[in-house]
Amino acid sequence: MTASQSFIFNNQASGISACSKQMLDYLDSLLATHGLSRAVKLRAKFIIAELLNNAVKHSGTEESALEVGLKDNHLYISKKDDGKPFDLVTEIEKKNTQLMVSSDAMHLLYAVKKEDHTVSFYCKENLTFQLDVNQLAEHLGLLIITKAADEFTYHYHKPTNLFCARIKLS
Amino acid sequence: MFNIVKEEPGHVLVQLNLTEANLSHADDFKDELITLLNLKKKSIWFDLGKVTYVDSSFLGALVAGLKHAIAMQCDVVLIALQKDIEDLLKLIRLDKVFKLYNNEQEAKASLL
Repeated sequence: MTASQSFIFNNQASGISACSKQMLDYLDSLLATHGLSRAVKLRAKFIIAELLNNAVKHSGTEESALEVGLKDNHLYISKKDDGKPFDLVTEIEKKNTQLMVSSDAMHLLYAVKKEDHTVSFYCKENLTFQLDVNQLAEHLGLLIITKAADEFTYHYHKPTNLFCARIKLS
Repeated sequence: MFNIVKEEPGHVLVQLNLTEANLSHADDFKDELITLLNLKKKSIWFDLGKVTYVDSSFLGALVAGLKHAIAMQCDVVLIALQKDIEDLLKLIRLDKVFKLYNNEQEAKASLL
């Protein structure tokens, strides 16, 4: 079963709630027709909020295009813009090599190069951390998406940035 | 954005008057929280019962406030979280960082 819908976001913080609501309403319609669980919807909600956040903070453009879709038993949520590129794709030279994007007392977030223009994010948890609040990150958006999604990728092909999160439907 | 419900010897109970605590409010919230900590020099217990969602920017502001509080030997405590917010905190393990309680009575009981 395939279904998708696109949404244009004005990249303004004041527009987050309205755009998020539109996207979640569409998710609800998918929920009704495809039987998505609360857990899937919640993970999608986290991802949508953070992609909109990312658009406001980092795109540097007047609008971004978001898409929510179902395909091949996966839920996809993506954000596309023609703004400033995330340097990861050029910083990681070879396929399957990785770069640490961020780290704090509890998490290490990496990007690994998949294809010429694509990196995939993954996270390692430090299970034996000694809690020191001063070692905690305050920038949590990429971490949230990485942990909420089964796969989270960034693709840059000049001039377009594409972030895509995928959730496997059980 | 928030109002003081009551002040006790060891803490101030504060109601957060937002339904969506997001990027729009994060910077102001962080400034107001740090101002309140500096003024009261006590732990801040936030009642988040009205809040339906928080995003990473707001969580970042809460973490920044917690760092400030811990440096003052105080704390930032979160009360009455809705399920979605609690699940978000668990996802990124902030439930191991903040003290979370269902209500004020439960928070008080933890002090005994």
